[in-house]
Formats: sequence, structure tokens, C-alpha cells
Amino acid sequence: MRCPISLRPFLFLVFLGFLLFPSCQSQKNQVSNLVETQIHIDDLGRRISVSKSPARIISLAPNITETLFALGLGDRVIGVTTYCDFPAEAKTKEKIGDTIKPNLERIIALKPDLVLLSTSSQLEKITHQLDQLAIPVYITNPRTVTQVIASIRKLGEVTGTSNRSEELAASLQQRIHSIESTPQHPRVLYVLQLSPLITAGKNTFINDLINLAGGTSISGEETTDYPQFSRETVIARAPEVIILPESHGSEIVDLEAVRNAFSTTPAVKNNRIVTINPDLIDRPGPRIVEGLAELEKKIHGK
Amino acid sequence: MANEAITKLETGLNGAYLTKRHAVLVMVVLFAVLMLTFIISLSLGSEHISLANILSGTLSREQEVIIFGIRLPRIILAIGSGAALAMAGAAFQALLRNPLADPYVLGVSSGAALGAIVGIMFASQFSFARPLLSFAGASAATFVVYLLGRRGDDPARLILAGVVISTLLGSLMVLLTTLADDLKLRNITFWLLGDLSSGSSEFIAFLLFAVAIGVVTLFANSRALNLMMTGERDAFALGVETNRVRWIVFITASLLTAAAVSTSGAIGYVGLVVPHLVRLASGTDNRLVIPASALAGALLVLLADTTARTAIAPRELPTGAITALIGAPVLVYLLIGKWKGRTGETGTSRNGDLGATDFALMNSSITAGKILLNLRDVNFGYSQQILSHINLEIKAGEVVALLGQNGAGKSTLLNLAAGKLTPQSGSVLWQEKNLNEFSRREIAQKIALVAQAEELHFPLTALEYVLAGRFAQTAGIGFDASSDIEISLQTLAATDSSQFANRSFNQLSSGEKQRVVLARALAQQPQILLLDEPTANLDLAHQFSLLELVKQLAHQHQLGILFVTHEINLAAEFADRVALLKHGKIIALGKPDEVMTADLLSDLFETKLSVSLHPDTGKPLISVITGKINQ
Repeated sequence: MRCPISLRPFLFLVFLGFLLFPSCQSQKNQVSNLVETQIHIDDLGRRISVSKSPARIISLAPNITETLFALGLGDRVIGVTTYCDFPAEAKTKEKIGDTIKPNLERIIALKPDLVLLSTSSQLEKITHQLDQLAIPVYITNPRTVTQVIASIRKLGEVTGTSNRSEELAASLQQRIHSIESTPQHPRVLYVLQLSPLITAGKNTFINDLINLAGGTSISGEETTDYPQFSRETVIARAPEVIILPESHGSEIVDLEAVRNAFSTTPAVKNNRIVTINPDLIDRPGPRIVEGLAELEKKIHGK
Repeated sequence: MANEAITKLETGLNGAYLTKRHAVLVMVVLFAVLMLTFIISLSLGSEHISLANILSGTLSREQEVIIFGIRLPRIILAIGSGAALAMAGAAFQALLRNPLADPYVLGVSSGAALGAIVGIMFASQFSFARPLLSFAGASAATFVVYLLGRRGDDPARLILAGVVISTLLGSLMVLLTTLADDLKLRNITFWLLGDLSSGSSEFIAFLLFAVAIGVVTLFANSRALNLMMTGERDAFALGVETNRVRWIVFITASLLTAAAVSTSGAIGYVGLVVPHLVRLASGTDNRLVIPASALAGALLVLLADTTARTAIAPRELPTGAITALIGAPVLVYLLIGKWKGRTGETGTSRNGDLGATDFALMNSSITAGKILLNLRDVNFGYSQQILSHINLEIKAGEVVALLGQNGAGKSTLLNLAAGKLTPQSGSVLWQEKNLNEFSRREIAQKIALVAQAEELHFPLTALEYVLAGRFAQTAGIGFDASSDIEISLQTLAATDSSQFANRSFNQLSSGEKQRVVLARALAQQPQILLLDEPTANLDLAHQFSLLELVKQLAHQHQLGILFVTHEINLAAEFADRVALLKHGKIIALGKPDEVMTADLLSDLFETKLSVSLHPDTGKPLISVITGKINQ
């Protein structure tokens, strides 16, 4: 394939970039030599060398921010995302963009010794760039409640707060055990969006939570994470509880519209439409247990 | 001889024009298929409910809700939005004379979407904000695209303007969604994917109302649209109030788009693909294309939506994605493939042998010499004076030739006489009444203007082209009466063009086109023919026979004729009077032998000319002497 002439100068610059590449490598060595480090393997299997007690941490996800504060590391957090609104102190931290588009320049300027990331795919490029600058990036990727507990333990190890994290994980685990045993399993419909109807499939956090809380999601067999779902099937499967996310009191899904759409279901007939703060069930952090407890109450009508 | 040819032709006219029978047949078939699909799709869904149970009404409470609360509204929404989008597409294509025009390509849908997004973001508490803002957005986008794209006569420009506006609106949407909070963002995203599952009864009522208005309005204007499709200049001359039709169709198509987009979200390609398929199957006549597109569009979206909700049940697919999946390949096919021109028999032209004018179409009750049109002290100009103090009478039964150099103002004079332009001072009178007091239709019944054929972007047959001439003499609504077909065939025969009747107009040579254009003018049954260089593309034999025909029309049927020509010898031969126009002034007017003198003509053309007498006819015979005048 021939290269258009207009692209040639650009390609030349890229080539120059490759020539300069080794200088970045040497910088990495210098940094790692300065402080005592430890090797960790993150959820994606990457080997990362992190300072034994990182003091300048940037969190690129609200669940990580919540975990860090729960571990008592609030003081060491120097940057968070615009989505990080819990606990209240997190709001006072410097914002370095949102989870999807963090500001790389700002991250570099803050000179962090640890950057924590929750989902990897969208941030592959940023991870790569930070790697080249020898800024350690640790990625957690919990997919189930059990994995959340595990990830809290791991974050404790990476940040040198294993004691605190073990404690936190154990207490969370205990609360989960106290919830996990109910005789009945009501049929549950989780409505992420009504027009069109979007619900949650098998491999989602909410599905795991519904199961742990002693319910059965009517869309729990779907292999797609958030499938567009048939309203007819909802009518036919007759959910006993309908769960809607709420946002700071305002409805994400119009309650009245849900009632109209599924008027024949036991959930509507028995007025068992419940709302839940999505932050408690969407964020794979320590508050997930609170979410679970609340779900359990709501599913069983306690 | 001519009648024989016509009878022979009528039997072979299959597909040369739209018959009422064909239109009704197509509509009935489409309607039957739609109804069948409707019933079948009512029984299809993620939950199995047998057709027998639905029809007999033995349904459980849940099944009743599924059928009447979920499936039926969704099916109606699919039918409504499909009909609306396809009709809007057909209307835009005809109006903008561009087969690629479509609510999506033109940015109309983007306008509607942006309006709806503004509604979702800033006025979600009012349920009618979304359709209203959607309509406003659609209209505004169409208007801007039209303003940008109309200048110049290049339809590609409109598409370009549409793409530009679509892109701009797309960016605005992205900007707005960036500002939207999570909740609204989710709302917007899913809405943009196209969703037929949640039509409230108000939305469905709004959509059906819009479709009803659309069907009635567009069908009422479909015959005018047929003429607009051949060019606004021609349509205007043929008696269409082009401004009015343009706006009515424009607003209606925008309303349809807005109704569909605001109730169902983004469902692409329907407006583009459906009218094309209809045209491929049944020709370009909008009297069928518009209603048939409505049915076919309804059918397409219904099929797409039924697929969307059954293919991977209980999961659903976005309906818009399926119509795009069907539409994109068809679009590619249309872009790379050629139109199947409807080529009929291609008889050989009986060279030069124009038909007799004994057809019953001309009004012979007028006495020769009666002043039909009177230009009195007419002045006209833009920044610069083009015509000054023009006095010219066009009398029944007389051929007047208008001679002059390029830029002398000949075409402007013709346009004034045709009522297309209004004089700045002075008056153009039709039998003592000001021409601009007549409607376009009334003018087209009196005066036919024959100019060079505009290029067509749709494959009309020559007969369809000529039938457009009947517009002013008929109600303007409905199908062609057999008398209209008869007259059109006669005028085709009169211009030696019978053999082109069922050939695509675009496939004719420029000389053949010229004859068909004249046939269309004659189909108007005018009292005056204004001809702008009628012989420009004709071979010698057809030049003579055409002017012979023109002369016959004047002398036997009392038509008044004004023709602009550069063929001075033809003018000398055929004109009863000759007007010499120089720099916007008539410098001489009279019989050929009085006016066509060496001095006057040399002055007129600023070229040294000699005039002798024709040895056979005794008419002036002009030849050029090389070298400039006065040198």
C-alpha cells in the first residue's frame, strides 16, 4: 500500500518518537532505585513495582476512592475523579477528570507514586503512557461481590495497609454471611432503563447482589451484561419485585410508567416496586455490603 | 396516419405512464401484504400466543396485556413511523429533485433529534415538549439546509449542505450530551438508538395524526410534485404555484420526520430506500410513489421491528439497526448501480415528417389577428437596465421572430411575456388584463414557454413528461383522464416523437428532447407559444419541420407565436413579423422584407451582412460578409 505524501512528515515524527523512546526507559530505572519497592501482580496479571508505602495516590474510580478512605488512606489520596463523591472528604480532593477521560498531564504533574484504576479497557492507552513514565498503575477488576472483598485485601497489600484491609474484609464478609440464607427466592426485575427496557444479565454485579440477597432475577440467564429486554417476557415471567435505581431522590426511571407497563405483574399489584441508590450497588467498593443489606430488605419486603 | 400511429402506440404503452388501474392494484397488493404482516406479527413475540387464540379472543389476562398493551401499540408505532419516514423521503426527493435526498441525509432527522434532546434535557416535565421541539428542530434544519443548498441548480449542493448541517447538529448533540448528567445521558442514548417499545397513546395519536395529514397533503400535491421533479422553472411555466407547493411539501415532510423521530427515535434509511424501491417497481409518478411509499415504509419498519423483538428473544435488537442493515446495502446498490431505464420499443424516427395538426386540441374559436398579449412600454432590469420601452403585440395566428445578439435581452423578454418576470414599469396585458392578476394555472392555460430541457434526475418517460403539460388544464389532483393521454399522444405524434412515448426522457438525444419539450407545451393547449431557440439542437430536417409545424399552428389554429432564434434565415422564412432587439430596445419591428435589410441586420449583429432575395420564396436571404462593419 502506498503512503499518501501528506502523511509522510507525520510518520517521520512518529519515527523520531521511537528513537527517543529509550530515554524514557532509563528514567524508569532511576525512579525505582530511589525508594524501596515491592512487586505486585494486579487483576490483569501485570507486574508492578510499587513503593512499600505509597504516599501520593491517585484514584481513577469512585469505588477505589471509597475503598481508600475506608482503609484510612484519605490523607494520601492526592487526586480523584469527578465521580468520586463518597465519603464527603473525597469531594475536597483535586479532580483529575472523570473515569473515562482522566487528564494525563495533570496526573503526571501531581507526581503520584501509585495510580489505581478500576476498569482497564478504556484506559489502556493511559496505562501504557504512565508505564513509560515509570508511574506504577495498579488495576483492580472485581466482577462479583466475593471479588470485591478480595480486591479490598489486595488494595491493602499494595498500599501497605494489610492490617486495616484484613479487618475491613473480614467484617464485610461477616455481614454477607449473615444475609446469605433465605428460604424464599422472589422473582426480581431490575430496570436500568424503561424506554427501551434495559435490564441486567448473568455476569453483572447487580445480578450477583440479587442472588446473594436471596432473589432470582428474571433476566439472570442472559449472557449479555445489559440486554434490551422484551416487555412481553416480563409480563409472562411475572416478577414479584421490581427494582429501580434512584439518583439522589430523583427518579431515573419514571415510576408511573413502570406501573403502567407492567400492570399485571405481582410486583405492581402488590405495590412492590422499590428503588435503590445505584451508588450502593454499582460501585464494587466497601459500600457494596450496605447495598446488599438494603437489597435483601427490599426484596423480602422487610 | 397520426391516429393509426396513436392506436398502435396505445397498445404498447405499458409502463409509459401511471394508470389509475396500476396504482390501485399496487396499493391493494401492498395493503394486503401489510395487513397480513400485521396479523402475523401480532402473533409473534418472545412469548408464544397462538393466532387462533388471538382471533377467537380466548386469552388470559397476561396474554391480553401482551397483545393489546405491548404488541399492538408497538406494531402501530412501527407502521406509523415507517409510513411517515418513507413518505417524507419520497416528498423530499421529488421536491429537491434528488434521488439521494432523505430525512437523514438532509439533516432533518438530526434537527429533530437535537430538538428532542433539548426536550429531554431542559423540559422533561412537559410530555409534549419532545415532539414539539423535535418538529421545530426538523423544520429549522430543513430550512437552513434548503437555504444553503438551493443556490445554483446542483442537487449535489443540497446533499452537501445536508451533510454539513448534520455534522454540525451531531456535534451540538455531543456537546449537549457532555453537559447532561448521567441520568439524562442514558435517556438520550437509548432514545437515539430508536425505540418502538414505549409509545404512549398520546405519541401514537400524534404520529397517526401527522401521517394522516401527510398522506392527504402530499397526495394532493403529488401531481404538482411530478412537475417540480422536472425542474422548478418548468413547473412554474406549466402552471404550478411552485413557491406554495414547495413550502407546503416542505413543512409536511418536516412534520412527518419530526413525528416519526420524536416518537420512535432514530430509524434510518427508511426514507431513502423505500421510495427508491417503489420507483424501481412502479415508475416515478408521485401519485403512486407517495402513497405506495407510505405502505411499503410501514411494511419495512414493521418487518424490521418484528425481527428486532423476535430474533434473539427475550432480548431485543434496536429496530434502527435492522432498518440500517437492510438499507445500507440497498443504498450502495443504488449508488453504484444504474437506474434501470424503462426502455420501450425504439422505433425509427420518420425523419422530418412531423404529424399533421388536425388534432382536436387547439382552440380555433379565436379569430386571426386578435391581440392576445400586449407588452406596453415595458422596462425591466436588475442593477442594470435590460429592457427599455418595449412595445410588442402577439396576435392570434401570427408568428413573430425575435432576433438579437447574445445578451440583448431576448430571454428576459420571453420570461416577461410568460409572466415569470414582472416589469418594473409598463405592463404585460392579456386581452387588456394585467398578466400578473392571473394565477399560474390560468397563465399556463394561455401561454406555453418552450425552453431548453432541464436535466432530469428521475427516469420519467417521454409520455409522462408530456403529460405534465396537462397539469394546468386539469384539476391538478388525481389521475390522468384518457383524454389527457389522448392529447399527449397526439402532441407527441405532431412533433414526430410518438416512438419515444415509453422511453426514458433522459435517454433521448438533445434534438429528440427538444421535440418532446414542444409536445409538452402543445399539451398545455395554449393560445400562445413562446419558444426560446426551439431549433438549437435540431438537425436541418427537423429545424424545418418544427418551424413548419409552428407556422401551421399559427395559421391554421390561430396560435400566437413568439420565437427567439439565431437562425436568421429561418426567421425570414417562417416569421410573419420580425422584431430586432438591440441592447434592450426594439430597433425595428415589421414584416421580414421590411425589417431584414442589410443595414438594420448589420447594425443589429455588428457584423457586415448582405441581404438578397431567396430565388424560390422571395423571402430575404442573409449571408455574412467577412470583416467588421464600417471598416
